[in-house]
Amino acid sequence: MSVELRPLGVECNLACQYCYQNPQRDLASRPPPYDMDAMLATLEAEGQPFALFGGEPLLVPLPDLERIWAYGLERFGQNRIQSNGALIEAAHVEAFLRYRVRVGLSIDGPGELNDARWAGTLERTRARTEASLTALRQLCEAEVPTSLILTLHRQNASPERLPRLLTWVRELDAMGLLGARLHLLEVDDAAVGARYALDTAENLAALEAFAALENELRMGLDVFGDMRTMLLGEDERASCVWRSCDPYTTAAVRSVEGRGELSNCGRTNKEGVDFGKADAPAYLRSLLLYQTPQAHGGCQGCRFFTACRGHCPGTGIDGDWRNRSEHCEVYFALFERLEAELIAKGEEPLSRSPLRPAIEARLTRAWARGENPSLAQLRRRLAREESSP
Amino acid sequence: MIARLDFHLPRFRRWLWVSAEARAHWEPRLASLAAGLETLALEAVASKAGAARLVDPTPAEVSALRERARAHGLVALRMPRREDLAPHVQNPTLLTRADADVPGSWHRGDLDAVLAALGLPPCCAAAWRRTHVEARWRDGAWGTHGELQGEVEGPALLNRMLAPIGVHACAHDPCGPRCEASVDRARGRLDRAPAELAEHLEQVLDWPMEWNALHGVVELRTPVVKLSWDTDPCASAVVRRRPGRVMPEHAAVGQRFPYRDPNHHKLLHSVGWRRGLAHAEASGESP
Repeated sequence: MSVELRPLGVECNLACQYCYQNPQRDLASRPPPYDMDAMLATLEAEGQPFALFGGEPLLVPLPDLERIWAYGLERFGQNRIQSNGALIEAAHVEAFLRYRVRVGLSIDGPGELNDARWAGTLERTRARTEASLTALRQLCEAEVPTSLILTLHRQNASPERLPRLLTWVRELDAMGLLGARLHLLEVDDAAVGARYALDTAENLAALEAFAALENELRMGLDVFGDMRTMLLGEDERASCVWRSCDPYTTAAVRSVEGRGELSNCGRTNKEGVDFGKADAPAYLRSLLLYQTPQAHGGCQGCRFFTACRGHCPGTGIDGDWRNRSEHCEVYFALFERLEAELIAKGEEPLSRSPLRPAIEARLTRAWARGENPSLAQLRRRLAREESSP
Repeated sequence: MIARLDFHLPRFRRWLWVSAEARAHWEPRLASLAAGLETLALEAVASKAGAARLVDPTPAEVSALRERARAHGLVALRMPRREDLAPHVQNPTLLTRADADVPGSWHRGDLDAVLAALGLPPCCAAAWRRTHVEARWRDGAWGTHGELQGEVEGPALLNRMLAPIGVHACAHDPCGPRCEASVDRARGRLDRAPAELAEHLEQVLDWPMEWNALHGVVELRTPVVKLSWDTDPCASAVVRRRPGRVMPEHAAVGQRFPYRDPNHHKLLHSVGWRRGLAHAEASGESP
């Protein structure tokens, strides 16, 4: 589970054209002043390490950031932030080091590869991209633990631009970047989808190129690592998108807003309404996808279902969490590739395991009861049962 | 033709409030409305204005249900499940007077007598038979609206979109959204209700709302709360809307129906935003 602290809600200095927060940002009035005491009280109640998040959290003045980080360091021994990096100055870098802040930057590439992270005009966009890239270099030079979120789209991963993107990632690896998370574009707006979305073959080609690149890199690319661990049933550290997210409670993301209130992950928010969390989790999405034929938007009969669960509800076909991910074909092909690699190494992925029916049966029974056990737990239980007389 | 899928989800009800303020304001009011309507229904049975109510409690609800029946001098009788009467009711329980003969009708399998005792007019009793006994729909909403997609016409008194949380003027699923016999019964029910409850109910039923079913899950959107519950699984989304005339206090502003329209779209209609789209389009033409 990750706790995200969002003092300014979705307020941002950029207007990335594909941002999943745009339905909210489009309607949001200026956020009310945040209440530091209320936010810290909620963080204390949550009792988990947290990440500063937005929108753009560096819009918060540095003295307030330092107060938050001082609390985080004392309480949890660490801090994290996710930023576009364009506002990072030398004083921030010093503060990152002082308060042990791990930094995640959202940048899609150099120059025009980052143009989808739009700032109103081309000049402003390119200037902010330069500022982000400068910050990234400074962070690596200062040895601030830094990683990247990189979203793949037509501006940076089309067949013509992909080689340049791969070169850039190699350069970042040489600079000491810790890791990168690759996101496929979540399309919430038809106009955005028409201009930015890659088709299935292009998405797959881009991910396969990254999979090949991974062998050259020191840093990890977490999408492949997650998919391998899910296939092996070692899922306890895998990202939320593979683990039966309930869109009404988004257990993996608990956002603490500026007045201390809790909200859900924004990926499932298509209506622009900041719903509170439902009172209790339920795993209905996994349950219904398991039983719904693939021809109708479900996952029935898919051998990768235990590893995938229809992926993130925010990417459901037609923007509807009751459908499987619109990226199903891409992930299916990748799972096939990773499955073959694991088999070649002598491993037995769950998708080819005789245990799969028993695990699926136990998962669905657990979901019907409102529980979501890990695959690792289920495998341990099955192993115990097999070994007991 | 609505394509149905052959599974059922467990029974559930979920609530997602648009804000803490909306929840603080409306959660107690909707609960009070549902409780008031249930009391009204039990009083009607006790006073012989109606013969019985048929309910489908979860095991956890049975004891409280018995208490409430007893408080009105009624009994709560768990009946055997009958495929020929109410195959959609998992735990059929009749709330009735000790001397009423509806349990006998149930045991004899006399559907007409049971439905008459429940207060259904003949047209809606026939719809019950078609919907539940013959077509095996669990959720009566499928019987009332059939293949309908889009706007639901008809009086707000027959709006049963909130019935799963106990908020409805018409106590049964009408045979159609304009059924006059059902309107008469709903009107009669409101005439017996305290004026404040009746007025409040009429307003809530006239909120804009959207009923949206897919793969066994209904999402019911109102301007203040999104509700969700299990229904018969269908292969593609079925969406029905009531435009409504009453926007509730604490209604959210949203990107779509049934929320309040924003005064302006700060981002998605802005010049800078459109400039970004145009730039992307030009980049795509000449990479």
